Amino acid sequence: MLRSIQHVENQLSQSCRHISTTSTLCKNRAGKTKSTTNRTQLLTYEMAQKPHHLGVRKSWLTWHSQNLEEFRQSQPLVVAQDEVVRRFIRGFFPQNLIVSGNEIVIKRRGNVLIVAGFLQYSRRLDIRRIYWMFGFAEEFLSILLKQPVKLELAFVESEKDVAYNYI
Amino acid sequence: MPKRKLRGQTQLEQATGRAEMKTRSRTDLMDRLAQRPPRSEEMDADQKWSDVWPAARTFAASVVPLPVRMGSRPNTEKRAPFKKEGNLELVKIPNFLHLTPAAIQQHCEAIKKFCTPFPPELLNTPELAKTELPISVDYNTYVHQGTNIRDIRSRVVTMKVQVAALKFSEHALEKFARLAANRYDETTGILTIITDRCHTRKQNIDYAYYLLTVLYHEALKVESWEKLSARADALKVDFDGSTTKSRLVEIIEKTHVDEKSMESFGKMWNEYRNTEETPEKTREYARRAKEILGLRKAEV
Repeated sequence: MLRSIQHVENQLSQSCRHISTTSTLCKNRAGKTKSTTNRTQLLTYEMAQKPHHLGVRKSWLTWHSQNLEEFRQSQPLVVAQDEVVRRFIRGFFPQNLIVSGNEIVIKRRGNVLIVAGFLQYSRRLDIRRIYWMFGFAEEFLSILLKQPVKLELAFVESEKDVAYNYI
Repeated sequence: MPKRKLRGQTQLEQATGRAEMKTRSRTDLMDRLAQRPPRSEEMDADQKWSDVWPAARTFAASVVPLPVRMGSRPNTEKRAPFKKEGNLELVKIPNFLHLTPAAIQQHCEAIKKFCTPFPPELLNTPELAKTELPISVDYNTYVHQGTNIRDIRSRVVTMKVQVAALKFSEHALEKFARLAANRYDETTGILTIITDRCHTRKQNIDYAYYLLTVLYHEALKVESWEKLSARADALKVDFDGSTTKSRLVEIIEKTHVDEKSMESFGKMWNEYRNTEETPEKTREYARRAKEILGLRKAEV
């Protein structure tokens, strides 16, 4: 072990600074989906619409008024809160997620934060358990974000119910 | 050979995708109990919708018994827009299902007992508010969203007072105008007090009323040193005691002008000196001056 440390030290003493360069990857991939031969790739409405259709054919996944002019703006806070909420929901309902929990809508009204979207019944929906989980998630997020959080997640039978298209 | 398909045959068809895979309810009792048709299918046509959807909430496909569709399709004749079950676009948008005309009516009926009718006299003649309600208090309320829904701008209060309603004497009005400075608009006769130094709106309204009270009482006071004020201290120039008057009196003594025309000339002179000067007013001044001096009328 000592020898290996010595080896590392030698390496460090010999090392000098380099700039690592790579050729630029001019790749524009947003909103492009690769189709399958037998049309089994599920696309939800959110995925099927291109990014430039945002605000025209599809609306936003986060709704808040922090970008209004003349109002006290705290957009970074909102982005961070959104990420916390999304990650928590993704981690807390792993069996019930659809499209790996990418489509969770967060709406803010007054001081209330509303989480909406879809979950699926996994093998069996234990109603008692799911109510408890909703309550826990609401309580936990409320304490964490210091504002009331409501879960308005609806259940669909399976991922197929949210399928807009198969490619 | 039986008429039905053999098990191997159906399995083969299912594997190749030619036959539909039949999903049977599982033998699990809990699973079978959990299956329930959506609530919207069990609803009566004459139910009270405001009981079903009492407050603002996200669209729920199982509750709303409307055949709604949302989303775009390249060719809607071929394929209808996306159905309501599992439709994320419907979930995203704010809905007004809690604000049906019936619900609003019910709400209005409920709060009616806390309201009084708007005075009909004011509806007929809005100018009456000027004399009957001389004080108006304006403020803004900001609807916000976030952890803190307070807005610092909502504390600002603007109070407008019709000064004529305070019934000042001439001396008091002059003192009031001096004290209020640019807050008092002489042409409209309105005093405007804007307060924003306190933290809450209530405190600012109280402070505005306090300022008004103090202004009123200070204006009414007559201090001993006020007697010392000279002609040059006055806010407005007065005809009485002016050199114009003394000279005019001299001339009039020579030309015999009556008291009445002197008075009307004084009124015009006061107005001419104390308001903005315009060509018309200057012409009027010249005309009246010639008239009182008995000179030939100027040709237009």
